[in-house]
Amino acid sequence: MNSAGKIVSIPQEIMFEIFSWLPSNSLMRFKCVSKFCNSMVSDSAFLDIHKCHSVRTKFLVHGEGVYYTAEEKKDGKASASVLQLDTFNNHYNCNPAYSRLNCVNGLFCGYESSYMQATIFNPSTKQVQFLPKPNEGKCWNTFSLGFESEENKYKVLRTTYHPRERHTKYWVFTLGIDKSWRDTQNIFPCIPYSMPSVCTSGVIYQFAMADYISIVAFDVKSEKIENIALWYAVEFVYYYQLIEVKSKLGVIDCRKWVRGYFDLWILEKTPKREWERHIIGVPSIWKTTKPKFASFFDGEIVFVVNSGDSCCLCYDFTRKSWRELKIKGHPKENDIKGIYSYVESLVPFG
Amino acid sequence: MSSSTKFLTLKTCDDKKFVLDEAIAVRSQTIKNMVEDDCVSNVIPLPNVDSKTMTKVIEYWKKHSEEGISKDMLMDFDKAFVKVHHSILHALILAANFLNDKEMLDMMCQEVVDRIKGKTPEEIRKEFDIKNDFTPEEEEEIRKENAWAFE
Repeated sequence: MNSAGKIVSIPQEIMFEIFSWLPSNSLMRFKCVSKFCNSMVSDSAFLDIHKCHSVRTKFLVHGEGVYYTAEEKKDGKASASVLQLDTFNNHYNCNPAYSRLNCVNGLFCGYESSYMQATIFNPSTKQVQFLPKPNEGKCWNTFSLGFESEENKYKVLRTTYHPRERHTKYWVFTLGIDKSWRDTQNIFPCIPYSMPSVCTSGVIYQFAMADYISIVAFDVKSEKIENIALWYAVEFVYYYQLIEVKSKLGVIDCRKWVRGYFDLWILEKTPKREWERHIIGVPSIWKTTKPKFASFFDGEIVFVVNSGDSCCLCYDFTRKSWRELKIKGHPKENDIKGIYSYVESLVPFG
Repeated sequence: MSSSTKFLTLKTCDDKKFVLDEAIAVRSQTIKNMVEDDCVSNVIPLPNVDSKTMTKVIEYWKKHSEEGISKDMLMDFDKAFVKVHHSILHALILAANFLNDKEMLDMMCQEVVDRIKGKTPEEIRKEFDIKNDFTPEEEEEIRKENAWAFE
């Protein structure tokens, strides 16, 4: 059978198994191997299994005018590891690296505050969808991507601030279903901030200015809006950043970083909606490098600090320990604005 | 070796016989089922496995059944074990699949994944003996759609 070094052909069910462990770029390349390979890589059962096997977290790094995808490489030492960058802007011929970005469940939403249109993209397949342009004239828009797992739907929430009426309207676009923006009939007297929104457990959270600064929560399934008060009257929103921590909403306040700690406020899921404060110490060697951006993945809060080696500092929330994460392949003069994690998904959208 | 040790005789497709401790042979779910169903009076035929491949499989089973072997030692063994020509690797995958040894099959598949992930479609066809059933136009179309994956 095989002893003469002859090629033994592998049955299709094992090909299925092997292919389900391949990274997405290999799979996209192997689509042209044969009709069987092509149809397998498009099969929904295969895509589900492939998603379960994609255990390695990938990263999308947002630099000035450029996006990179990255994978973490352990370089022997437990304390430091390296993100190897791979630029992918040129794959989106018509897609500049939007300055506003948010993400949920493998998909990203990018837009420009000055520009009315938003784009949804999947860095694993490089699939891009341009959302329809809103019909209103000059309004201030923000776009936030949301996902709810019950009906397995992605929805984009668009807020439109009407300066004359001093209120915001909320519109929705369901990926793969809607052809145009749908009015949710929600009107709220506030100004939404274009800082990155966060979606966790089927709710999109966004900072907004009403009489005071608060958080607007949009339930992706029911499309209902709710206002959540902060723990006290915050004066300046740009000191804060929304973050998802273990499926809960968190707000990070880094003003005391130079004094050796930061605050993390977590919205408890109790009916009373209480904020719990966590004061987390910062190792003194990093006190001078104030973070620009924070996100959460795999149990760690990752701070972008842009000092020297373009590195990130990661705080393990459970073990209460810190480590460094170096970023390789990124020009030093180009600051990193954000870093987002995602799990590869080849499931088509739109 | 205690007197209670039971032995099984396995016969490969090229008529070679292997005598093996039952406790080791039942790593194969297929053999285990046969033993439990009591249909192994004398010799278990393995019509899908040749002797060269079976020797490797038994080497793997014995190592993984050794008492007191450390995880690190097993990892080193596995690493060396999969460093074989791809025709042998494929034969081992078919054997592990037939014998229904999930642990071994997973390890072999993982090795194939590591070997092929950087390859071109042409190399994949050669590796798995797959016939390209696309017309040149169809192939070109799919290549264009996924051009980024070829960089």
